[in-house]
Amino acid sequence: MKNIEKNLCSAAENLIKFGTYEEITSKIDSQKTERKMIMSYNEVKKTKKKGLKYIGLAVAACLLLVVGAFGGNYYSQNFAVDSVVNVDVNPSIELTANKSDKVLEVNAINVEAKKVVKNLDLKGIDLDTAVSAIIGSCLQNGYLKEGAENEILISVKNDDKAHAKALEKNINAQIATKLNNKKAKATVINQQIVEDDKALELAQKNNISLGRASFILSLVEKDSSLKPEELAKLSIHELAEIISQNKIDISDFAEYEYDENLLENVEEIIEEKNEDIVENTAKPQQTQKPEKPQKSEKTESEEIVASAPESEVNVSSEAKPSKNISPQDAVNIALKHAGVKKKDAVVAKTELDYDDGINKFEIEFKANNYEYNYEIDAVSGAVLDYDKEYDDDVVVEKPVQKPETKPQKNSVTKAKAEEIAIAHAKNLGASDNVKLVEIEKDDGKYEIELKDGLVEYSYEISAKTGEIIEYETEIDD
Amino acid sequence: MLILAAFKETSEVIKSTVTDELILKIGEGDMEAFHTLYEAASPAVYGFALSIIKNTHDAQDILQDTFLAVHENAFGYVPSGKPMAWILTIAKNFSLEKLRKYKKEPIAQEFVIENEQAIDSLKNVEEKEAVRAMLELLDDEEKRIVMLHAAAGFKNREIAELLDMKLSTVLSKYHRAIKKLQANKKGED
Repeated sequence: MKNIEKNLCSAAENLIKFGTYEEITSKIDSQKTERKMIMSYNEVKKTKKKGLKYIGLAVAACLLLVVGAFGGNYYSQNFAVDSVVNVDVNPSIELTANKSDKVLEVNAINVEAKKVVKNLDLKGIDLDTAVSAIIGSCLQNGYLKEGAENEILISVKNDDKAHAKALEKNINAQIATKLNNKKAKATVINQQIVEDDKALELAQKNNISLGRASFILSLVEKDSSLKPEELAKLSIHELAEIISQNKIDISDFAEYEYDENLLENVEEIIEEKNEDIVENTAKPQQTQKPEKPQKSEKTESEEIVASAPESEVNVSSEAKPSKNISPQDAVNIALKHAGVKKKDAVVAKTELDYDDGINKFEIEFKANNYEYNYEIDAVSGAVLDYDKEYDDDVVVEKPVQKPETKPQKNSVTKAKAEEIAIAHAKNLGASDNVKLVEIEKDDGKYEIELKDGLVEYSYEISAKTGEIIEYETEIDD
Repeated sequence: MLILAAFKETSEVIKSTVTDELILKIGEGDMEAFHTLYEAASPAVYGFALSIIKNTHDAQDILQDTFLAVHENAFGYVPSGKPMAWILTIAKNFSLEKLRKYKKEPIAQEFVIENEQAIDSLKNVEEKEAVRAMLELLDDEEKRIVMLHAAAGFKNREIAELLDMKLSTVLSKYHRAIKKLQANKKGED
């Protein structure tokens, strides 16, 4: 380890205030005491017997006084419910949180939900982290599936609209990260919970969350052929199918973006987003030849890059609704209309949007110093709108032609990748003692670390073609 | 105890002490285990938090919040073989949350002063200079990468995973960061 790192490490150690551990443990102790009192207060509240009721009230009042003694503010800051979030997939879960967005209570409403929250202890942690944990558990328990269409309904209730919106964004971001780490996809539907008696009744009768009930009633309002009691038995995925089959417009009470682009892995998008935000250059990419719909070449989505921190990050599911043309077709239509050859074009964005009652592709590409924007009807392929602007940005470089090997199979084995890395390292001067430290396959690439004495070699090797995508060496002294 | 710890490689200490089992013990209420964890991991948590939030006052708060959260959630911890990553993810979330607040309101003057004083009061001159250099010369990502190396003994790949970055990006940034810090040191000597 370098000297400077040793110094940073001991600096960190020495900067920590004396007595911190004791402060932590005393907070733990007082939290325990608070909880016990609040729990007893709640139990006392529930007492129905008349006689006890009055005693109960008196005890409650005393407890309240004691709680108040700790600082009434502490109570309202920490234990008063400020937000309610419902998470629905099949499982229906209700989370309540305090003003600081820390979870107060978790309510597993149906049987599936109980399964999901069984091993989770979510109290006191951030709402969005809790939702992420729930999503993880849904994945583990098979309610969300890798490689399938998944839909998640997130319903938020908070009197402060801005806060509700912010929560939505954070939760969506957490879900996107979680799913992308587990390589699954889902469409997240967001709505704000409206509490009305009809919804409450539907929820209670059918053991679903208020959010889901409210969502169902809104659907029924839009399409009277639907019956609430029947919809209440369906999963969000099944509801989503009905929405698309019956072409119901939910945009006035819910938000979701059916975002399909040529990129299969959101991980790649997010990686590219990070790189771009860091390096501030547009990364030119090629469009994929429509051979098979999987494992396409990278296409950058500037939309996601630019808007991910602010707007809802909705991760899309891979399959297309049956009546739409493919994104590749839409791109081809746009290129043809513009009179631009594919090899001259650099496609920046291909997005499927549901706007004004129709599904359309929004396509952006640059060619020959111009920037083109197209809107293509997703069903008919008609050009709805187009725009051409002189592009005075940084000159876009032509993408490097990657050898088009069979894009489906990962034909390079771990051992082979290791071989390639070692051979390359030796060329750089590594001795025969060079050892493999780590090898991991991630997202179509092998990430390999070698060490030879003090020198560390790190490689990223394509699992499809075996070519070295990136490498770095560093001296670890 | 402290002096002995300084001679052992940080990564070794952490890897041998901070295990899934330790976390599970904490979840069962074992406060001795919690103390062990604190001793082993607090520099990492603090250093990492400092690298994100860039002032000692907030880093101190995040340190406490993180260990409180670890204590709260140890019961539900699903053994993953990467307990340190779990802990630092908690720290990261707290830190980023605080950072978001600073987008709207500027940092309190008192925190800035406290930060200056805290660093100034470090007895070891080399430590003082190292922290100052880290805070002043590195960009946001470089700070985090270097601190994770230094205080948590993380390898590049672990850093890439925790920070959700490409391995190659981590490498090049780390390289650059070390160069900056070493150049600065040479300039001072």
